[in-house]
Amino acid sequence: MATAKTYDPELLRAERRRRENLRRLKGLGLHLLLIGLLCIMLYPVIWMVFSALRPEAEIFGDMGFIPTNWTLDNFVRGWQLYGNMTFTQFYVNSFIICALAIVGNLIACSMAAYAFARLEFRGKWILFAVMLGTMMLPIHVQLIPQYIFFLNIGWVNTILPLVVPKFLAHDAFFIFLMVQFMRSLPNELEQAAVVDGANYWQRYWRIILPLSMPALATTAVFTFINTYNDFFSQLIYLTDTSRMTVPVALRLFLDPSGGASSFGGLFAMVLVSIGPVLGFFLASQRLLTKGIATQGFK
Amino acid sequence: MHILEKGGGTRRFFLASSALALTLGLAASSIPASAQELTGDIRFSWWGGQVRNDKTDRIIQLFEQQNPGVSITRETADFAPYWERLTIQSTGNNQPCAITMQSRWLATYARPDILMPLDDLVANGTLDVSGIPEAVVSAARGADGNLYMIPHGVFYFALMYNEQMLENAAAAGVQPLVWPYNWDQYADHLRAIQPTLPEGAVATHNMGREPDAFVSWVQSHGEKVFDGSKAAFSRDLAIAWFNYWEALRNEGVTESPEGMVTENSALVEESNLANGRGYATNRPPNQLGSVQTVTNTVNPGATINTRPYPVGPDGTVGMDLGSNGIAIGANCTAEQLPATTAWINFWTHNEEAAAIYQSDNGVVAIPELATAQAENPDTQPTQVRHIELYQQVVDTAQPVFWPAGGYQAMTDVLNRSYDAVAFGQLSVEEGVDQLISELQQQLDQAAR
Repeated sequence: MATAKTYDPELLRAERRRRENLRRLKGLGLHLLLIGLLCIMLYPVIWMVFSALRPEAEIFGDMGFIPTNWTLDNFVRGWQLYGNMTFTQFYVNSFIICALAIVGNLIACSMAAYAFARLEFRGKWILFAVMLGTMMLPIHVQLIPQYIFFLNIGWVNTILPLVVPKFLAHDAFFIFLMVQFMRSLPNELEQAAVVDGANYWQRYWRIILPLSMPALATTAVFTFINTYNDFFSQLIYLTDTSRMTVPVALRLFLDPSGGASSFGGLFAMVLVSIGPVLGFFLASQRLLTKGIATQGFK
Repeated sequence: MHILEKGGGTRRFFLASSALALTLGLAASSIPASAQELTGDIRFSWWGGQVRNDKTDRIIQLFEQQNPGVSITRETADFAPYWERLTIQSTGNNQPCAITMQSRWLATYARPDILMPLDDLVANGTLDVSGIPEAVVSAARGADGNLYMIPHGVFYFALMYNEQMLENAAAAGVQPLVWPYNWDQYADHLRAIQPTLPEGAVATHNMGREPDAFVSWVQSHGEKVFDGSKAAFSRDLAIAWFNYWEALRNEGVTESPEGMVTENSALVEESNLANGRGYATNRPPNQLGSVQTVTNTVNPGATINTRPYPVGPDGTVGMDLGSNGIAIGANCTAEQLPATTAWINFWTHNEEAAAIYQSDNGVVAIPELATAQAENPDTQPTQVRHIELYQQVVDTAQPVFWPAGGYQAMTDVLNRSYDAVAFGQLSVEEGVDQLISELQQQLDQAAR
């Protein structure tokens, strides 16, 4: 015969308290560990921030965080790179290229993605495989032929080689990203539009594109970050210093060939240059995470 | 680095254009430069950091003020990207008209379809090389014997040392080192100084992996580093070099193998010398000012000085002299050539330009200008020392002809081979065999 179990309420409360305390202790330990790791990871960044705010001569003399003497001189001298070349010009150049690259990628990649994701045409899968294959081509293979091509059509030392390919669905990664997203949209929505007499363009523009906002935001953010940080293409195609962009200009603070380097100016301008990327990321964080989560790029 | 071959027709076209440009340029230059109204837009490229860019920009402005019809498009980049960009530009025949060039990289580009041979322009007086030492001009020639650049600055590597550490050692009874000293005397000096150094400091950076020190070693022992595109130094001499540094390393006179790799950074700020962790190292003396500046902040009170590399057993000086100069792109048109040559002459000979540049990229090649800089009371003492040491060695130094890809190959292979020895992965003999075979392999590849 089974006997009914009896529980001492005091013992139960004590057990609950013990488990709660243990849970809190584990949580505290985990947080302390994460904070410790965060400090290790952020140390160089924080050191750079404070280094940008101390006189150039003291940067390597004091490895502590807080400067003895505070100054904004590094920002002033860094902004004025040399002669009449200032970072104002470099930012304008960078932002123009970034803005056009984003527009180009959003328009062209979404169109190409719509075709691959929603339309049926002969050779679709072969073309899709070829498109994916282009992602695996190293930049070094394309560099010289591309340069000679752009040189022959007179585009070198203009922003056109950096921008026009974006309007021709040049970034296979973003096409693939949007294809994945568009495939997940219900077919019924588009079929309803077909019943209403919508043509391809209307279905793309009025149905698919508005529903693809998370994927578009992801594309916009990554295009901005990639273009803003792109060093080599901008070095090769924009040779005149007046057309120089931020990543190329940042390299001009250090001189490993034996000349004088300016670490103060470098740290100050690196700090400033992080701003747009951080701002763009924060502004679109919600859409970005949603976009990534819905496309399986976890 | 390889220059891609262009189509034969294209090359013929460029050669023809270059020849035409040269002819027209020579015709134009028969009129005295001062009487000509220079006009044209030219591109000028150089490498450097913020300070050098500023100086270069000021010199360009000066030239443009004196020649209102000329406009110079500035193209600057960091050192490594500079060569990558020039290589790509060369494949498309889109080089700037005036290209800052370095003797160590010259062989890669010294072809008539990339750079314009300058001998005729020098012979008829269009380009002025008067006053530039013959040895320096010779180092600006390509493998085909043609002159491809006009040198404006001469650079060299030497030894740098901490004077306070030396004074402390002298107080402890260590004999001072008086040049010319040979390699054995230098090693004995380092051994003697090691016990007098602060805890954790070493007497010298391990230069077993340093190409500039190795070149000095080879040449001071009467051998050549290269013969055309062949490695010309003997196996025995390379073994002796590795043994020299292995002995010092095993005695604790140099840093550990791990420290040796870390110390290899080109940035002054990271060096043992500037940070008070080392007594001596090898660096180009044009860095003396920046080494001293960093030393003043991290190791206040220390003074850094420079001295030549040791001489060989018979007193032979083995130091290499490199030069930086300006070359002319083979694609430079006849219309652009007068402005380009005037710009090169201005950069090389103008006193005001030299005063602005202050031997920033090597000691100014004209001895009178160098002397004037050294005697100017406004010149930094470190810069004066840089010039004085150059004047001390210029007559006896032996500029190396670096074949195409030679400097990069020597750096890569020597680093790798000596590191393998220092880390105990290879014996000295095996390390040297690797050095010679891989160096030759890379040279052959670059020569193709």
